[in-house]
Amino acid sequence: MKTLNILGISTVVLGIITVFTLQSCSAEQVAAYKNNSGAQLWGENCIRCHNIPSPSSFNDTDWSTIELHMKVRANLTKVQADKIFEFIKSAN
Amino acid sequence: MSNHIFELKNPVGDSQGAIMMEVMDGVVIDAQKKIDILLSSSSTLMNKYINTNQVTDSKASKIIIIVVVFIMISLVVGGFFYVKEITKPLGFGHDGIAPMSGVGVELRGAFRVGTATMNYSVYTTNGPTLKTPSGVEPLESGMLMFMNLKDNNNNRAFGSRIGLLPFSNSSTEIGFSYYSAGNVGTKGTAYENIGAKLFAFDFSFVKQLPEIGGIVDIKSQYAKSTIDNITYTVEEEPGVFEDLIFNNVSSSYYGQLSYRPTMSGTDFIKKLEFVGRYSKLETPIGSGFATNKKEFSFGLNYWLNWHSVLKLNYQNITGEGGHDVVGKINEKALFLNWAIGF
Repeated sequence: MKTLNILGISTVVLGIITVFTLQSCSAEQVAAYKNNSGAQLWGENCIRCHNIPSPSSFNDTDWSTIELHMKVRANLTKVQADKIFEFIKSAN
Repeated sequence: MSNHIFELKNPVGDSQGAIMMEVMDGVVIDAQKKIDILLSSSSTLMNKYINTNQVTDSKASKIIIIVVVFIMISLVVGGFFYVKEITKPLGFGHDGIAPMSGVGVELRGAFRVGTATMNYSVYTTNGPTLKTPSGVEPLESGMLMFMNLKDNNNNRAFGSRIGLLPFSNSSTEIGFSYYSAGNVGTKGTAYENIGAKLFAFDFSFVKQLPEIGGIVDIKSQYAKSTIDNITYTVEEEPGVFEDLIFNNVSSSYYGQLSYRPTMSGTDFIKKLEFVGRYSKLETPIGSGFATNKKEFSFGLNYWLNWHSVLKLNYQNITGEGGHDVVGKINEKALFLNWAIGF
């Protein structure tokens, strides 16, 4: 019974992941996503956990440190982190 | 790089607290002052951390594998539900069924699949300790105690979480996590070989919706804990013993909704945030810590600036059983809290 439960749960989870992954892989969507700006990624990702500070809240050295920290805490990909903090530093 | 991290003397983590006044049933029963650091992104702390370990940020930023001394367990959705609310949902924190943090090592990261993003986390920690009749709270025998800085056996707990952000705007995340500890009892005792397994589903949706003029934040999680069964012989009164036999399965879930009218034309209204939460906790019938209770809470927050907030929360917990409680409970509390993060 327990095995069936675990199998059932795993199947549902994998199914959801597969459906969403497949629907997100069209060439047009991927191309559009690649063009997302640092400002857009900044707005979309940071509010998942906290308010968005002004770029002038910290200096570039601090932002570099925060980049390392938030890359880990927010599970940002390298591309996302690079774009976001490049934008913040340019606006600082 | 990893060697430097291992030499880290002072862990960089969260601590919490607040200036809090608690009113229960209309009577002020407690007031205490604590310092609150809600977010651990303190640039000062992190600079100290990097300097101590002689690592440059540009070098460090290339590292995907991160090993830290004090890790946040990924069973919790970011651990940020208490930024919106003052208290934690039932099942989390003290006497909770899921860990909030642990001491160990973790590997985590993220990658893109099409326009979706997937993240992963695997870790090993000291693991939980099983409360037993010889402990300080015998009636809570069979309950897991997390946050163990000291290990009680040679066994390690292993856990993992996989998360999917299916949309390119990262507004939505669904996650599944699993945590297993082969032995949670203290080495050399009859409970040494008791094992525990936990799993959880979590969901998060955060997005600014122009249609309703603000940011909507929804978070929820379901967690279930299964611990191997064994008979606990507890001395209820001096010389009077009772065998506690129960199916050691617990579960909890919560749902939290908050709304902040960030697109309002009025500066005062922009800084307001409305939040509500429902949570439920069920622990084993027949155990000394048996409970079946639910919580409703509503709050009004006022953001003084991006990292400082005044919070007013009303909370009502009903049900039966729980920590040092026999019979029905109906707890009402009003919390006033100021919090600042760095």
